[in-house]
Amino acid sequence: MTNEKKLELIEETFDVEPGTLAPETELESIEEWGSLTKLSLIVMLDDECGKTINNDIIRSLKTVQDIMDLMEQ
Amino acid sequence: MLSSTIRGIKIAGVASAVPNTKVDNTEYNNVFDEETVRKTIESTGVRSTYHSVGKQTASDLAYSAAKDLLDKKGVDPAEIGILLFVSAHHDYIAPATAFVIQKQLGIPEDSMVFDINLGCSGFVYGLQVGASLLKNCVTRKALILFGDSSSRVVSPKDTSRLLFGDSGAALLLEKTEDDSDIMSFGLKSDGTRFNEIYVPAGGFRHINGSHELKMEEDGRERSDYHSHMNGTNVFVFSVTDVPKLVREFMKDKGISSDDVDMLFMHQPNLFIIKNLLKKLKFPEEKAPMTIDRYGNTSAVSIPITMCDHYGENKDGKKNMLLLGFGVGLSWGVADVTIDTEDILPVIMTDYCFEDGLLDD
Repeated sequence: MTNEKKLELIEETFDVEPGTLAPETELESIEEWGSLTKLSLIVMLDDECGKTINNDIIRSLKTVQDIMDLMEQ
Repeated sequence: MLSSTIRGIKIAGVASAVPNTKVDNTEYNNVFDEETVRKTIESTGVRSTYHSVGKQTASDLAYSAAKDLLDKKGVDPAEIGILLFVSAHHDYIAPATAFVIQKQLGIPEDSMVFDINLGCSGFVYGLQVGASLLKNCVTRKALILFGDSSSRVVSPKDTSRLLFGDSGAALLLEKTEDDSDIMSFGLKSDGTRFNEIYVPAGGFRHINGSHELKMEEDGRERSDYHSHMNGTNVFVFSVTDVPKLVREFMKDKGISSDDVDMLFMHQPNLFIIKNLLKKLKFPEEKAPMTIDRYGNTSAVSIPITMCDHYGENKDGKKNMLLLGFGVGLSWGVADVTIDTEDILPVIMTDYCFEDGLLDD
């Protein structure tokens, strides 16, 4: 999956305008990074990458790049 | 998946009961801040729940549903040979709550009476155990009861309070010896995740737990006697393990969502329900919801949704998938046929059994 595609999927999941997020964007600086977005991220990673994550992984995420890295594995 | 198929047993009645007291979730505006309440209502889809007052327990609600079912179906309690109570909220440490209900219903001694400790998966499990036992016992009818008093075990300082409602349900099973009456089940259990949803104190492991409210990692205050849940992990379980079981079961049975008239699933919250339906590719019109009016009622979610949907609107015989999942962790799916004439409307009750044991 290309970085562009990953960012697009993350932006869709966060329900923010295309082009809003960059790999270095800190998650805590995104207004939408609340409990529902975290749950939507879990669903997206499962649907798009076949990856199941838990609470500890969610808590360890700091930047958009961390999510992109998860999508790679 | 543990598979089973049971022939010659039919579901002859379903009834549900809730307490008289309805709690509108906007009433929590003076407990939590208004924005939190608004967001919780929006994300969970729960607008109101029913709460027991005084000493009313899960068993009182289950008994009320059972009494309504036996009366309306014209069944004599003497015909019942098996009585099970499926709940995580028992009346006493001992005996099993089913005995307290047996006394009230007047079910004779020539019977098998016990409890099953399960929560949100309980309807599917109770049906499987009840039908299996009935198949092999010399009796024609079994009564499987379900009850939940979640409003009693959620901390008053936990926003999960907005989510859970109290309720009871009753299921009547009858032996038909007609092999075209078939029920199929797919069951799964995972004790390695026993502490994803738990109440630590109140049993014998932590017999001296603290009743003091303590601020926990997730920013909610609870005591050792309150329900604890790892929300994220339970969500992951609900949208990954649960649809996986349904797909495995449907593949095993050679059926698709087109072959199923209705899907009655546990009602945990709107966000999980919608995600699960999307994953299962089931249209919303085939999966009635009651989460908005009754909240999460654990094992009673499935029967209360059936009673809400078909209680006043009969629609002949329907092939249904039943899907329960929760504490254990435990999850199960069943494929059954029910005549909607046998599904009663939800009743409301303030009934409470007076045991006369303690002056508290």
